[in-house]
Amino acid sequence: MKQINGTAFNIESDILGRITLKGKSIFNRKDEILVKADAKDLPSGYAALITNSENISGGKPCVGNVQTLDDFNEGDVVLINKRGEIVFLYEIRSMHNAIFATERCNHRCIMCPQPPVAEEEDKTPFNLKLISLIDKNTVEVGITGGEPTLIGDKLFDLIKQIQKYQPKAGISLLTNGVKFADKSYAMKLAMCKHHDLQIDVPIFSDIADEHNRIVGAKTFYKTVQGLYNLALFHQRIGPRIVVHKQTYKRLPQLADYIYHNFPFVSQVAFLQMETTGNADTNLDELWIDPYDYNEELKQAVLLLANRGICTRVYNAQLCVLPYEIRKFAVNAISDWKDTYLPECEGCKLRQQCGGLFASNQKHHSAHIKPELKYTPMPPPVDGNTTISPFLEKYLTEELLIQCNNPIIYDVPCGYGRHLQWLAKKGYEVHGIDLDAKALNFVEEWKEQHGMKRVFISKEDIDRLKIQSCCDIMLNIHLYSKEILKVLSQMVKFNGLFVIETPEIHGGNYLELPVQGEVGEYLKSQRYELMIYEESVPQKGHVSVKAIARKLA
Amino acid sequence: MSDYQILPFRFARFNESEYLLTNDVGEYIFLRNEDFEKFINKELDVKSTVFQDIASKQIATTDKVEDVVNMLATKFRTKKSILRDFTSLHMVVPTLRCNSSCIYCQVARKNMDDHEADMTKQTAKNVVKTIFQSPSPCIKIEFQGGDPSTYFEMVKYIIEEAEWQNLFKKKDLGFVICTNVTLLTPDMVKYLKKHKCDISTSLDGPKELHNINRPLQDTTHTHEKFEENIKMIREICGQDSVSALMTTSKYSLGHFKEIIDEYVRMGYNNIFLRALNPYGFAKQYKEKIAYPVEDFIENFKEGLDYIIELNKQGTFFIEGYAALLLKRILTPFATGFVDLQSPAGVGIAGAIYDWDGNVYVADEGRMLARFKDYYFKLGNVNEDSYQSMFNGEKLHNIIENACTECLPMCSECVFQPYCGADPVRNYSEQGDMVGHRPTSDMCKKNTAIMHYLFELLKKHDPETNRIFWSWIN
Repeated sequence: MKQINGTAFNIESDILGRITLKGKSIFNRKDEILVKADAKDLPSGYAALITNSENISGGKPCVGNVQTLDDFNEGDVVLINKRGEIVFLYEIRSMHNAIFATERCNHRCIMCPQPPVAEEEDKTPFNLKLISLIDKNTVEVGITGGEPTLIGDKLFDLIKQIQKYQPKAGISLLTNGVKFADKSYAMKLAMCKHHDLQIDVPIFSDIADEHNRIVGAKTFYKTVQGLYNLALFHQRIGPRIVVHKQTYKRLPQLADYIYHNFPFVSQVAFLQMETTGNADTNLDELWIDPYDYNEELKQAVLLLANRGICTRVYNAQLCVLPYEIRKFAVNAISDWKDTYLPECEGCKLRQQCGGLFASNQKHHSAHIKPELKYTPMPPPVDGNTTISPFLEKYLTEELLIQCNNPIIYDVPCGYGRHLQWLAKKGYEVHGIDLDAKALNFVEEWKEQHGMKRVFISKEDIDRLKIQSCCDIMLNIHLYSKEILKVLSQMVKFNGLFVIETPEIHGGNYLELPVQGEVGEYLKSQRYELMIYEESVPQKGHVSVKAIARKLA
Repeated sequence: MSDYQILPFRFARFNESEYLLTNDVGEYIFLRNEDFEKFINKELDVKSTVFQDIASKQIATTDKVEDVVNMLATKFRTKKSILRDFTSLHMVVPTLRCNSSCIYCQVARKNMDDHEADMTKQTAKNVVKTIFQSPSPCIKIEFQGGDPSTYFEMVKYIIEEAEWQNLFKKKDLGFVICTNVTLLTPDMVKYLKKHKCDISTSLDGPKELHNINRPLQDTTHTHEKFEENIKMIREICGQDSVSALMTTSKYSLGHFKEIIDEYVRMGYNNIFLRALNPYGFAKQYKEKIAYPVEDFIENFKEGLDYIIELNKQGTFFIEGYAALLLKRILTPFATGFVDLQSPAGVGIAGAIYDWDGNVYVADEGRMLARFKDYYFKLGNVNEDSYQSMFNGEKLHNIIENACTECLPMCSECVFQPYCGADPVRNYSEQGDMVGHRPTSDMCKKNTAIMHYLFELLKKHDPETNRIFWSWIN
């Protein structure tokens, strides 16, 4: 949970309140916590003040000395205590807010990320108030724990409170399902008649003993009965399978078991294990590189998907997943949990990828690597480089001389076959690529041959924001509309844009242009087409070879 | 000795090195001979993968038996849930008149101008009344014949009478008309569309074969007329509006590939490769069109292989019988195919109402009546109450003899969970409803086809499996 620390002033007991930055009317402040920079005291009526200043007067509850006021958003709900800790219980910008119904649990899962407590005060009154403070337009509220059903019928009070204060919100209830073996309890849940309630129930094995060992209780058949009872009342059920060393081997059999015994489920989720809590303690018994269970995971996911069951993979890094099941991956690690590795720099999948749990930074797959937008051609053997016939034919010495000692950019340069060709002629050549191995190769070649006028840099082409930097731009065999846009801006007036798009799909490019696309775009950017050839190697797509001059 | 409890299962030697095991709810597993021996001698290690796989299918357990039996009971209920609804398919014969003269026709067909076997309005009214006493929430009325289009007025009367009744009963009501389509006019088709009546026809293959099997009485251009009308119907009701059935005659053998190609050419994405039921024919007639069941089995396998190949090459095309059996083998769900159920669907899933108001448990029961054998007649809508017909001694007796769970040889057959009983066919071919499996053609056909499907499943070819699932879903 997100937490910010400051210095407490005049705080006797915990204060629960909703963050306001812009302030509320005096009649409507009772549960509001004002966040204000450089404040000295608190206007009357607010529950508390959060500020960056240290000198507080007026004797009202306050957390001062908070340096990161930017982290607060209008509508967040926080709990502040006498130690000056500000704990975020609800974040308005997050999609993953949850109510912790209780910290007690009747299971002792070996990989539990939040190990349960034995006893606690009834949290329900607090939670009811918390729900009343949550924004009414919230899309989804989780109810979790601990085991939420341990609070008995009060669980339904929480659900009804959400119905009242967040009428549009969906609820996802994370429970082990044991309590629902009591049919009347399942019926009471159904009687809440919530319009969008999903009950997520962890199942770890198709073998009762295995499941029981993992959850630390002999409850497998109670959970089964619970699922049957929930299904009887037409509740939406989503089995969840946390994958680790003790569950991965039988994933395909478990998937089949779920299909045959619980065909009524609405979704099945496979989750990469979070390595906190008990999972960290029992790491040796649990840890397996996710890469090493790819085969079992793939079989299980495809088995269910083939059978028409909605299947999801949570918490996985796309680069580690087999290609066939990447489309089932969901980027849904809670916001305060996700993080990326240095290896992720430049990865084209980053936008869609869930990244890692912050807690998994220590333990993650050894197979995380960026998916680059393309892989360069293999390195040229020096002195024997293969130059594109098109370049050899049209990028003549005569044309190069006309350009008057041009600055040439080769993007992407790969292992530098064209870069070397031009550098050896004595021109200043800049190579840009994202592939570190290829760039190292060019760097070595540069050193060996003392090429002082060769410059290379590691950049993601899509993110280049340089304008008018070169006299000649080479763009060979990597095409996308986006790249065309970026590179065309980098050419100086009267400079040349040399482009050769790939002939077939697969390999060194993202997409192929359609007929006329490249020419039209260049013309729209005030280029004069000096040479423009289109061929049709594949139906519907063309391969373009062009040299264009940017008009002043 | 390991501590596990073996639960009820059936098994058979599948090939030299493996056994196939199935249980009542249709789960299956292949075991190598040595594992099977160990398994039944309770010598398997309960921690071994092979034992866990068996336990996962609920063929054995180390848990409390009651817990597992509870789950099996739930699955069994699901598999048999079709029974809960009772009779939903109601076939009605408005007339025996027909303009075709199919070589395998078993109906006492009447000429076009012979109105002797036309249903009367009074009978029709009573038929509909009887139908709506079925407790089933779904009612499907299927018009058979003769060709019902020769007495379209009666079809309309029954449709409208049923719609009227349904204003009060509010069931999920649907209609199907089984016709050679050649007499349908655009106006008739528009009427059928308006009343949500599906059209089901017969297509036996390419022109030459179709014309041999199903010639019209007044023309040699049967297939042309057929194709022309299919086109007309599709224009009015949409591409998927006419389903087609094929029947295999002696002349069809060796031509399954052409038959399938014809279905593809005609824009169909499924076929049901159906064997002839040649019982009830006079002997000399039987020789003309019938063939040994083994020939059909060989043709079926080739046809199925060809269809799988078509799918692999990108043409989505279903073989309906394989799809039905695969659904039973691979899914936990019930399948509503009247002709292959246990208990048999006779009377309790489907019934047929003849033109004169006689009610039979199945179409084949009506055929027997042609030879003055009224064994499968439940009664007459003009004389008997629904209760006496559908909850009478006769139907009870028939159903008691129609559960594969307790029929000799079926009860221990490894394919039992996927198969069904046919008391009418047993009676007519083998003299009694229980029948004699070793000489039953139906048994030969079904076991051979299921064996072949399991062979295909055992290959674990991802492409074939994907195709099978595309048929099921």
